[in-house]
Order: sequence, then structure tokens, then C-alpha cells
Amino acid sequence: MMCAGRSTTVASSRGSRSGSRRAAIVVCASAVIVLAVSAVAGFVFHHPEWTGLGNARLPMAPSTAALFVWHGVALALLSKGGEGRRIRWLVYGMAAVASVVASVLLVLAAAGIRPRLEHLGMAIEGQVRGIPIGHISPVTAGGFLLASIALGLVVRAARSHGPLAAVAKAISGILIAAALVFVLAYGYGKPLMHEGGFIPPALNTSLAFVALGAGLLLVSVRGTDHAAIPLSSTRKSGAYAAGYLLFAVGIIVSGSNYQRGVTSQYRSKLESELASISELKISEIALWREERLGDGSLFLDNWPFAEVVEDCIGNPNDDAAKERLREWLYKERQSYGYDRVFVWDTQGAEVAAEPEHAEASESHLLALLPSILRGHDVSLMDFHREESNDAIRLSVLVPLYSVRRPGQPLGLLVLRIDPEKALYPILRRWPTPTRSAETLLVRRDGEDVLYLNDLRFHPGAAMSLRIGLAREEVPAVQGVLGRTGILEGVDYKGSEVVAYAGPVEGTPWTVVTRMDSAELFGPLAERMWLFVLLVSSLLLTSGSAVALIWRNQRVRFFREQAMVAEELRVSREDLQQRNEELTRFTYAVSHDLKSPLVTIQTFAGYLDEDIGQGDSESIRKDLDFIRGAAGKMSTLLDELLELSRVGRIKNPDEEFPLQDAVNDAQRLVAGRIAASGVSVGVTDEPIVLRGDRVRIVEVFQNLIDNAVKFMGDQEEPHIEVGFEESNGEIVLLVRDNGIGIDPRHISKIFGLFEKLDARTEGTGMGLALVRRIVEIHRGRIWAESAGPGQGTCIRFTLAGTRIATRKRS
Amino acid sequence: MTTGESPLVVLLVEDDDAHAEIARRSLVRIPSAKRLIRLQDGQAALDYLLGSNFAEPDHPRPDLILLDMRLPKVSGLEVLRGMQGEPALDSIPVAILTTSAAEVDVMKAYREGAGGFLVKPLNVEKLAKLMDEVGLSRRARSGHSDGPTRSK
Repeated sequence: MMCAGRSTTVASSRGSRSGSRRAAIVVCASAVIVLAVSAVAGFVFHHPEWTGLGNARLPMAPSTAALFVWHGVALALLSKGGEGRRIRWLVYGMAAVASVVASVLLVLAAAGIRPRLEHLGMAIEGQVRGIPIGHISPVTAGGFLLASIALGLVVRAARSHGPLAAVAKAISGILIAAALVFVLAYGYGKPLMHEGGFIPPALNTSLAFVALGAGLLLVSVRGTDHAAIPLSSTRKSGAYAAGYLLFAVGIIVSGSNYQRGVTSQYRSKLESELASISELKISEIALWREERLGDGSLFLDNWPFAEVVEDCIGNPNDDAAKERLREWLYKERQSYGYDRVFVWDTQGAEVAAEPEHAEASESHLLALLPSILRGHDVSLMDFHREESNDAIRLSVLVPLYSVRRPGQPLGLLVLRIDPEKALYPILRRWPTPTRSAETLLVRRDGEDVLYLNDLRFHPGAAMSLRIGLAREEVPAVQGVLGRTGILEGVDYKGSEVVAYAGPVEGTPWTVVTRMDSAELFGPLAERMWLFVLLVSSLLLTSGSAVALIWRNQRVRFFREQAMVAEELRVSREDLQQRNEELTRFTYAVSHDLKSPLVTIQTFAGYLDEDIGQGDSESIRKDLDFIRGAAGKMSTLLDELLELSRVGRIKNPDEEFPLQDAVNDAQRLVAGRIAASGVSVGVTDEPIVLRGDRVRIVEVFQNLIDNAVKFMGDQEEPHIEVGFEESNGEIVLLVRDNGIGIDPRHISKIFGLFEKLDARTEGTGMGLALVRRIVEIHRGRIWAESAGPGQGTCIRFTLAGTRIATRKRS
Repeated sequence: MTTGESPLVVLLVEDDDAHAEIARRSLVRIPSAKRLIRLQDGQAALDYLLGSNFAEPDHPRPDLILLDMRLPKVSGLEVLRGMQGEPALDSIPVAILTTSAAEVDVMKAYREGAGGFLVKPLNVEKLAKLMDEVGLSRRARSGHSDGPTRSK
């Protein structure tokens, strides 16, 4: 009954369901179109944040946007459902055009050919993270190819929902899944494909594909939706969808939170590593400088050395003094490995040098000379290029003063350093193996940053690479401008880096340690990949699980419905059968009851005449006929009443042995049995019957009575009551060796008032009654006879019949 | 109705003895010469009708069949059906005897080739009229087709 009640909701719910799906398709189509149009509007009105859903995001290419609008419109055309031929052909054509365009774009994009035509006449230049903008990604083009194929299939499958619709559904699912992976990657801050050679799909492109895929899925599902769905099931579907959505949002949000936590943890760990390495470098450089200045200060106010120098200057021919001075210089050079150690007089003329080869005096050093001599202090001459050979050098400058004439400047000691040998190795050292990390030494030079050392990815940068201070995204610029600590930006080679900048005290130098973000976050990106895959597979699995459950429910519903329909059909057939039976019954009753009436009426008339004629013989005959008819009528009415009682008045079920029932029946027809000399045999198997005992006795009574009646002139009349087992069912039987039945008439014997022999007594109701009782006991009854003279066997079943287990065993 | 003619043979198929007696008494009241053969069930009727060429004197071809509808074994309708397609039986008029002129019966019987109805209790005038018609048609037929060979 519950099912029947549910099915009544079918008709009313159908409209609302298709209505909500139609609305969903329109929403999907609108989302696709809005995303595309807003991207194009961004290009037209120069709002980069519209083109890629946010600043510094890769924008959707105009060609991509155009294809999205195309597909969105096609989708919207299909939203109505049950559209006409013309619309379907139109959409089919659109799908065909789209698939051709997408194929061409796919080939071009895969080959790296980027036609300007894709910009649709707009002026689009530039790159985002090194990716040229305004061109379709091969992934996107492939997505459009799939989408257009699905669109075409959906239109073709609009009538015949079969494999075509299934393929369309599969394609839509793939589109959604793939686009979701890209969206997720964007959401987790690690966009996919941004490092490869191909252009990746933009965020809004991925989002639009999710909407497009969902729309296509909704349209393709329609084909299978011809069967009506009850409102309750629709609500359940809604609940499933909402539950899954909630679950998905939960997974994505908690995933992104977790990922953010992991990222920041990882990041701060790496940053502190970077910072400590950087600080180490800074202190190393500062220490190195201190040591060099210390080397110099050994000679400042060094009397023995000053004396030797004074001797040499005072008497240029004093070879002994010169030898001693060179001894000093030689030792000093050897002690640290200076490039060249030499002494000048106050005029800048070289007094002595180690190594001894002559070199032209550097004019800039000459210019510095007077101030140095006045300064009374050791100083470091910063990186500079030698005029003679363009080599990069630093020098420790020590002013020398006369011993004999105190305070009088004597000359200058220069400890010249080749940074390639002395300083750069310190910078190049890195505590861990790395692909991209390096330390830069820079200083401000006018409005530029001047790189002081050679760079890993820019040999020959030392003293030649300059970057304008305006380019503040470069960490070196930021460092020179006074920012210290962790910096992010794009470095000299154009790659994203994380850097640490710090000044070296007492110098114009800034140390910048930098590492490519790619390397720094490489391991993280790998984990992110795994994480995105994990989350998306989790979403997909749970999604398919929900879909499976939902589908199962629907299948169960339809199965139930089919079962209900089948039951209904069976009961309708049953009803029809009963109806026919009733008609036959009424017909038979009216005929058979009327028949004795006619007799009585007619013979009453004859009686009248015969009384008038005084024919006593005829009068007696007439009265006999009248009496006979009245008696027949009375019997008929009794039996009809009896028949109507069966099923209407029912005694409680009980279990009793077959033998008891047969004995009771025999007792009831004992007179007739005795008169005809029939022997009755009963099986002695412990068969137990179950049901209305009075009725079941009636069955045996009628069957035995019948058998006796149709015994004919059998010499050894015998009736046997037994049983058979057939297919696990106990079939009871009453067999006689009487006149038998012509097989042609065998089907009639259980009919109401059917008599096979006009001469026999009875109304023909007995077997009809038997059949009724058997049916009431959920059984079947049928007759078998090899033919006239071959005896008859009536077989029947009664529900609940069993063989009792013998007590002995 | 000259006496020189052979009596009309009426085949009565009726299981109920009382009704058979009624039919017999009704026929007695009709003055024409006739011979009544009674059979008790449909099977017997079919056996009678299909089983011979009516050559034997005690198995004559009936001129009229009075057929009860409700008969044991084989019903009146089944007898009609069995007679159909038998050219020898085509011209024998069949009158259905029934306790009710229910439409269903009438329709079915006509479809199976019944020639008329007699609703029980039998009306003697109607039966007489039917007998007259049967006698007339027999005379017409024997005068026409069979000629003198058939007439004794």
C-alpha cells in the first residue's frame, strides 16, 4: 500500500524535477558565459584582475573565452529539454564547428605556435610568470575538443538514450574531474603546469570547464530520465547532492588549511635556514675584512719597517735596504696570498714591489694618495678594476710615516687583493648541495646596484652587472635600499627567488643570499602535487560512491515499482478471472434454478388438464415430475448455500492425520459405499494435513462419493487414497478403477453444475465445491484419466501438508 | 399434411427428463405426423449427427433439431459448432431450447448457426408454427432438387 501511495506522487513531481534541472543547466551555461565575457571585458577595459580572476594570475585567452561563449550558448539552447529538430540540428552544427576550431587550436598550441589571431584584434602583450598571455593552452583546447564531442553526442542521444549518452556522461565527468584538479591546484597556491613548456589553463578557464562539464552532464542525464521519479526520491537526490557538496567543501577547506599550515611551517624553516646561512656569510665577510685591515695595521707605525722604507727612499742606491724591504714585502705577500704588495713614495713612485715586475701606477690610487697620507689609518680600497689589465682588485692601504722626522709622510704600502682568490671562494661556499642558491655581494653605485662578484647564472657579472634601483622586485635592489631579512622577488635572471639581505658593517656592501623559489619549494610542490591528487581522488571516490548509492536507490525504487506493477497486473488478472467465474456462476445458477421451475410450471398446467380429464395415471406422473423438480431445486439451493459458505465461514486451522480425514469421510458416505461394494484403501504413511478439518473431510467425502458414483459395473470396485511427492511437494490423490473420463471433458469436471452424465444423480456441484475448498487452502486440483473405462485419479495439494517424523526414529 | 408423407423427424437433445417429457407432450398436440428421437447429452447428439449417413430406418436424418443449451459433457453450443462445416447437416434447422432468452446465448447461438429459439416453458403454438415451416421447406426441397428419387 505504501508503494501504491508513493506512485501517486509520480505525475506531480515530474514537472518540478525537470524544471529544477533546466534551471541548473541555465546556471551552468550562464556561469560559463559570465566567466568568459568578464575575461574579455578585462582585456578591453584594461582590468587585468578580471582577465584571470585576480592580480598576477594567468588570464583566460580571448580565443578560449570565445569558445566558452560558443559552448555556453549551445548549452543554454539545450536547457529547455525536448527541443525541436531545428534547435538540435543547430546545436549539432555548433558542436561540429567547435570541435574543428578546438582541434586546430590544439595542434597549434601543442606545436607552440601562437597566432595573433587568438587575441581577437585586442592589443595583448606581456607575460605572467614567464608565460605569454592571450593564447590558449593545449589542455584547454583538448578540453574544448572533448566538450564539443560530448555536446554533439548529447544532441544525437536526445532520443535514443544508450551508449551515446553514456559516452557523453563519461566525457563530462572527465572534464569536471580534470578541471577540478586544476582549480584545486590554484586554490592550494600551486598552479599546475606553470613551470613546463606549455601554457597552462587559467583559473577562470578551469572554473568555466567545471561549469561546462556540469551542464553537459545535466543535459546528458536527461536522456535517461524518461521514467518518472517520485518527489520523495528527488528530495533524496537533493539531500545526497547537498551532503556530498558539504563533504567536498569540508575536504577542500580543511585540506587547504592543512596545506597552508604545512607550507608556512616549511617556509619558515627554510627561511630561517637561509637567514642563518646568510648571516654566516655576512660575518665571514666582515671577519675577512677585519683580518685584511689587521694585516695592514701591522705596518702602521711599524718602526723597523718605516726605517727600511725611509732608507730606500733616502738612498735609492742602498741595495741592502732595498733587499730588506723586499724581504718584508715578500713575507707579507706569502703570509696571506696577496696579489701584489708594493710601496710607493709620497709622489706615487714605486719604491719596491713583490712580485717585482713593474706596473704602471693606477691613477685613481694616485688621486687618493694625499687623503690617505693625511688619514693616519689603514683603509680598504673597494672593488675596482685595474687600469692596466682591467682586473678586479681590492687593496689594503697603509700610510707610512717617517721615523726620523716624526709625522712626515713617507709613502704608501698597498696590499692588493685578487678577490677571485681571496674573497669569492667565501661567497661561493654553501653548506648544502643546491641547484640555485648563491650569495651575492652588491653595492650601490649611483642609481644602480652593482654586482661585485661573478654569478652562478651570469659569469662575468662582477663589476659589470648593474640593475637600476627602480626595479624594486629584485632582492639585491631591496637590500641596497636598506631592507634586510627575508625578501621575495624576481632576481637578475628573471626567476622567482626567496632571498635574505644584510649589510656588511663598515662597508658599502650588501650580502644577498638567494635561492630559486622553485628549488626552495620544490619538495613542497611535489608534496602539493600528491596532496592535490589525494584530495581530488578523495573527492572523486566519495563522489562516485555517493552517485553509486544514489543510483542503487533509484534502481531499487524502479525495481520496487516494477514489482508493484507486476503485483497489480497479477491481481488484476486474478480479479478478471474471478469476474468471469462469477459471470459463469450467475449464468449457471439462473439456468439451473430456472430449469426445475419450468418443469413445475409446465406440469402444473398438465396436471390441470389431466385432472379435468380424470386421467389418474397421468396425474400421478405429473405430480412425480413436479415433486422431482421441487426436490432438485431444493438440493441445488442447499448446495449453493454450502458453496457460498466455503471461504466465508471458516473453522480454525488444525493439524490432523490424513487417515482421520478419510475415515470421517468414509463414515459420511458409508451407506453408498456399502451398497456398491466398493473397497476403500488408505495409505499408512503418517501424512499430516493442515487446515479447516470439516472442509477437508468434505473434500474426501465428495471425491469418494464421486468415485463410487462413477464406478460403473466394475467387478472389483476399488478406491485408493494415497500421496506422491513431486518437486518437494506432497500431492494427495484419490484414484478409482471406475468408468473414467473422456479426456476431452476432463477440464469441465470442476465447473459449477457440470455433469458429464445426465443419468447420474446430483447437481454437478460436488467437484466445484471440492475445488473451492482446495483453493481456500492454497492448493491446486486436477484430474487425470486414461479415458473411458480406465478409472480416474484426482490429484490435489493442500498448503501445510507434511509427512510426520516417525516417533520411533 | 397428407398422410402419405413420411413423418417429420424431430431430434430432441435434452438431459432433463421432465423437459424431455414436456417437449414430447407439446409435440403430441401438434397434429402433423412426426417421429421424436431423444438424446440425453451433446456428445450423443454429435455421435448421432456425424456418425452415419442416416440410411438406417432407426437412424433417420432429422428434419428439426431441438437443442438444449446446457447439456452434460458437450454443451448445445459445442454441438452447433460441431455441426458447422458439415454440408450434410447444413440444411437441418436447429431450434435452441433454453430457460432464458439471455442475449449472450442468443448471440452465441446465432453465430454458431442456430435457426431459432424456443424459450422454456415451451409454447405449443410456436412449436406448431415451426413444425409447419419445417414441413413446408421439406416439401419444397424434395419437389425441387431431389425429385422423385427421394420420395418413396
